[in-house]
Amino acid sequence: MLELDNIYYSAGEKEILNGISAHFMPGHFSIIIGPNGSGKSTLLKIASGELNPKKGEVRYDNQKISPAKLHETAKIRAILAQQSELNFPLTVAEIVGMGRYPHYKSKPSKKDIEIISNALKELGLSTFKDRNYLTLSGGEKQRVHYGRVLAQLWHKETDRIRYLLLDEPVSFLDLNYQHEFLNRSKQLAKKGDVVVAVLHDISLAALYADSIFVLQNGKLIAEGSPVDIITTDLIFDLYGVSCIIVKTPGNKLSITVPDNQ
Amino acid sequence: MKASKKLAPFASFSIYTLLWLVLGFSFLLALRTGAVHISFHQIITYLLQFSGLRTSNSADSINSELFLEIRLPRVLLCAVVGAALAVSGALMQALFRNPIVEPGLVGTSSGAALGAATIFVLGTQFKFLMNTLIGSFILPLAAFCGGLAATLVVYKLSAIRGRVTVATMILIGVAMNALAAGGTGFLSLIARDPQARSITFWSLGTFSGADWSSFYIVATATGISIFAALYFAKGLNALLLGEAEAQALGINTERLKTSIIIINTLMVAIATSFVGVISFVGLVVPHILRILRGSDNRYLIMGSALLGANLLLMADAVARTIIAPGEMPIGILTAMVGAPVFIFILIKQAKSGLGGGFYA
Amino acid sequence: MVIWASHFNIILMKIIKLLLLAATVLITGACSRTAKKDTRALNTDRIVCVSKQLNEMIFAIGAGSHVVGTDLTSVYPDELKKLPKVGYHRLLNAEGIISLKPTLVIHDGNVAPAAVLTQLGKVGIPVKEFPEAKTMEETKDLIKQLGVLFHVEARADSVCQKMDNDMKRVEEKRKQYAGTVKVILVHFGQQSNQYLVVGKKSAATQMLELAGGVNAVDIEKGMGPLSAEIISKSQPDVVLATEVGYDQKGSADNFKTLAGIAMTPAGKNNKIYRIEENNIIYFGPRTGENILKIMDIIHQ
Repeated sequence: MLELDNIYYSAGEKEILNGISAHFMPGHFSIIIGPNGSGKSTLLKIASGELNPKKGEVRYDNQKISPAKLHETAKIRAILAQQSELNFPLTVAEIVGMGRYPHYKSKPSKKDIEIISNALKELGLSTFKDRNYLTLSGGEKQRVHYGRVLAQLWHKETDRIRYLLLDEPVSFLDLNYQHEFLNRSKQLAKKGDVVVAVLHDISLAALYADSIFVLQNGKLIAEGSPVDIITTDLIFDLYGVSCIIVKTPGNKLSITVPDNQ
Repeated sequence: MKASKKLAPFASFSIYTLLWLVLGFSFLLALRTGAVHISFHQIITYLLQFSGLRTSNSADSINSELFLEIRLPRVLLCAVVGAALAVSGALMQALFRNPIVEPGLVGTSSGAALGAATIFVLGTQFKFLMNTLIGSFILPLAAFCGGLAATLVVYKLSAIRGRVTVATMILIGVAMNALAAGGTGFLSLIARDPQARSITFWSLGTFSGADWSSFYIVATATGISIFAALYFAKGLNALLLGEAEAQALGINTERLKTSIIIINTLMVAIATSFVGVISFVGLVVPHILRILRGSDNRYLIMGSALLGANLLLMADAVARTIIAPGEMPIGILTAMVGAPVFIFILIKQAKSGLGGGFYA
Repeated sequence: MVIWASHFNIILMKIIKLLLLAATVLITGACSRTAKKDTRALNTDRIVCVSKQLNEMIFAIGAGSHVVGTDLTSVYPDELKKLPKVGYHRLLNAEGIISLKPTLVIHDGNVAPAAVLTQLGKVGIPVKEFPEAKTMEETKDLIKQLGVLFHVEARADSVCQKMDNDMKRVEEKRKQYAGTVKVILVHFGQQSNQYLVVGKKSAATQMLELAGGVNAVDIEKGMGPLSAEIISKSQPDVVLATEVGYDQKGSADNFKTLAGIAMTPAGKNNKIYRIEENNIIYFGPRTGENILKIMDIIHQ
């Protein structure tokens, strides 16, 4: 379980997070939503350990994370961001291989090499492994990074659970890739890991989340299953638009905003 | 040039074997070439003579002394300086996450030269100190400080939240170089000693002062730096993804950056304080290597050492033959090759719109 | 595989470094000879001389045929232009000099890098320094020393005699002119790529004084950068410019545009004259003749 305990964060004068507490359970695909400026990304960065909260604690399985133990945390926690800044030529295999960096000092072991190969296979990248990353499409690139985080988190059933944090991972992707990644993330969560994503698109969030966390102005204003949480009132409260919510088979939601607002 | 979609065409045939072979060939060629031509037979003879396996021939002593005291140390020094500058380019490019950074362009070399020049010129004021043990450390220390100052200024000013903007970096590099050149020029003006007044030639680089002790010192510094850099190769790879990503992979990025800056500056400063400023080696060599096999830093560091040694060996062989018995400052040659490459990369970058779009 | 190749590569590099170190230790260890002591008289068959002053003197005493190589700045007399150039005297390289197979290398102390002289020593080529002559007396002395070196003492003496005669003519002619002319000498420094003024401690100053002029700049040492401040302080009656700097501007009118020269008496009266560097920057066998020329120029 990933615990956020009374988190406060400010950047300079501005208060970004005001006392947020949340539990992200294993086996659940948790998605954080909220308008721009609500503090979603910041919250995720604090959950991952990238930023340090002004007040409050972050705990992975009841153990507090700290900047000093960055290396240890990296063995069990991976982050997938919106897009990568990489602008040098590296092969797909090399990038996926970086996922194993926290697990070895200078040379990858046989186990590491096997895991890298598995991750490539899992993402359908085996034929791509010698491709120059820079020549791939946006969706393909993100798939490579997904392979990297998978490699980073690869573990036996009997090991302790892993944590995958995704910061708006599908914002710039085509429809097919969006669904591929969110599906994958949900499957990973089902296997027993903690998977938390920040998403901008509420429809997608509603479609895939097991638990939804709603942020507004640095406060957690609602949490629960999409069906329970996402109401027309909530959406009006967050975004100031009236919408129509349609329940589709399998307890899914579809959100539409009619014209003439 | 459209980069191939697949990297590593040399995967099966080790690229290192190729680099070693070419290096060996260039090395032998460089030993032969110069204002005084020395044949392979002579080379072998001289080496055998002085390991005691053959009696020396006093009639040929000028050539054998030339070979052993001037040519051989000079060629060796070229190789290690070439390695140092090329590896430095690779390190700086990983650090700044930009392919057009190198110690000459960014001001590290000229900052180091300025540091060394200051001691060179003002050192005569403190003769009593210079002649002590501390004295022999002051010159490289000053060079280190000068190079470090320049690098830090460029790094701090041009990195905004970890993203390095190319234009800012180049401009600051230009400013640093101009500042160092002005400082060196001023020093050469106030210098009394003819040695000290020659420091303006440092901006072009020369190996004519090469001897065994300079080779030992530079080789040691370079060797240590390269092995230290290899230790950080993994972290540098991760850093290519971005600073946050590297941290997410468990890399201590602050320690990485500090270490690399220190290792790099040490290597460049020592080399520069002996041979002056030689630019573009750090730009051209990693660039070629990336096109051949991508950006894995372990490969880049080792490959750069080999290819950089190669490049400078050949450049110096040309420098000391092309206007024999005179000698062309080697910086002119490296600039003639390097500047067009630099412009080429810049144009490609501008066209693609991405930071390192050349490689896509 | 990349990984194995790089592993092997590191080991290979380590081995090579060790071998090289061993080889060099072996080589230098075996060289336990002491430096060659030069007890015999200097062999002057093949000379490389990297000082323009010394070169001119050597030719003046008729020993020019001994010279096989010079530095870039030695261009007077014309015979020197045909000789191989070993580089700028402050950026020499030993190999180039050695390739000319000299029996002796001569310089005036104004040479760099210092390592080159050491390297010549290691190879066993004798090097002799003759410090630059900075007065007429020193010049004659130096010519006599060169005479001894080349075994042409008589010829050297006659050159000195001619110099004395020239100086007597200078003294005579000097009496024609009343008062002193304020002069500045502008030189172009190719190394620093800027215009310089020649300061008080220089050969030119002495020559000007003997020619009935005075060096009007307020700079002590050899040369300083040209600036408007220096010009306005000195207010020269005449401006002399060495050929490289003058030719860059092309004409006296263009030259006036530098650093406020146009505002000076020299500028207003168009007294800006071209002079060859080898006629004024250093002392030599022709100094007497040169001073006569200078006298004519500045008293126009």
